[in-house]
Amino acid sequence: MLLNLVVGGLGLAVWLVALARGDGEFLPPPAGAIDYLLATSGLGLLLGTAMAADVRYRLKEDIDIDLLLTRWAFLGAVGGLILWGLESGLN
Amino acid sequence: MEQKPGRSLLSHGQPLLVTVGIAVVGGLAAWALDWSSGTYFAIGVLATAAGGYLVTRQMIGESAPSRSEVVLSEANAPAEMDAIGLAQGPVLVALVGHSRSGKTQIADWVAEHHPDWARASFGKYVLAEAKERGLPEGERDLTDKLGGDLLSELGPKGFVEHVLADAELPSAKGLLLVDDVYHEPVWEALQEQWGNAIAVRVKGREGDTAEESALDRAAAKLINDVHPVLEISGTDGPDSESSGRDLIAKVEAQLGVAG
Repeated sequence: MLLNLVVGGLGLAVWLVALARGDGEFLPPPAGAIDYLLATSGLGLLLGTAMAADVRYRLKEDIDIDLLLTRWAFLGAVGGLILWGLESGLN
Repeated sequence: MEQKPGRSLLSHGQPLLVTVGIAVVGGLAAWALDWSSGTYFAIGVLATAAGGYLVTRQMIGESAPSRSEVVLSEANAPAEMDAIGLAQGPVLVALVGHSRSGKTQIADWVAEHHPDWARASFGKYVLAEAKERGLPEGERDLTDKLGGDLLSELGPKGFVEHVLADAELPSAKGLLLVDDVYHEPVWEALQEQWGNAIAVRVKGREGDTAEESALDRAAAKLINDVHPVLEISGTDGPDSESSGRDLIAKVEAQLGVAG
C-alpha cells in the first residue's frame, strides 16, 4: 500500500512539474507520452489506493488489493495515452 | 450462482470500455471546442477514475454475491441432507442469515422455553472475547472485525471447537442450536466435526435498509452455496416467540420428530 502511495505521489509530482513549466493556462498538460503515462497511471494508483483503503477499512471486504491497483494503473495508462494521442494528433 | 459467459466478458471489459469511451469522447470534445490543452489531462484522470471505480465495484461484487443476488434453489439442495436425522445421533441446527435478522433472539427464546435444546452461539463467544480484550461494548464494527480476526487466528476448526467447548452439548438424541454462523468455512467445520447438521436460514426483515457489512456478504455467500433446507422469518427481538415456534416446528418436521 505504501509503495502504491509513493508511485501515485510520483505521478502527481510529474503532473505538478508539468504544471510549473506550463504557459500559465489552467491545468497545462504534461509534455509527452511518457509524462502522460506516468501521470495518469500514477494518479490512477493514488485514486486506487484511496478506493482500496475504503474497501478494506469501511466495507471490510477482503479483495485482492494488488490486482485492484494494477487495474487502476492500467486504466490510467490507457486513458492517458489516448488523450496524449488525441492532443498531439489533432492539434 | 452461475454467470453467463457473454455477460462475464462484457462485465470484465466494461471498465476498459468506459475509460476508453470517456477519453475518446472527452478528447474529441476538447479538440472541437478548442478547450485549454490542460483539459486533456483532466479528462484522462476522469476516465481513469470512472473505469477504476467500476473495476472496484466489480471486484467487490465478485468477492461475494450481494443480498439481492442470492437465489435459493431447492433443486440444487445437497442430497446428503436426506441422511440427517436423530437416528444418527444428536443433530446440530445452525441459524444462518444476515446480521439484525434476529437469530440470537430466536435462539434465546428456544433455549429459554425448550431446555431439551442445547445452545451454542458464535456471536456470544465473540462478544465474550471482546469483553475480555477490553473492546468497548456496543461497537458492532469492532466485534464484527474481531469475529473475522478470531476466525483467522484459530482457523475454522479451532473457532468451532472454542465455541462448542463452552456449550452444554445435547444428550445422545438431542438437538444443539447454534446461532450466528456467517462464514462458509465455519459451516464446513461444523459439518465435519458434527456430521449430523442442518442449516436454517433466518430471513431478514423487509425494508431493512441498513448498510450491508462484510458479515452480511459472507452470510449471503453461505446461503447461496449451502442452500439451507429450512427457512424461517426473522424478528425484531421482542417478538421472537413466533419465529422460535416456527423453527421448532420445522426442525421437528424435517427430522420426523413428533411435536
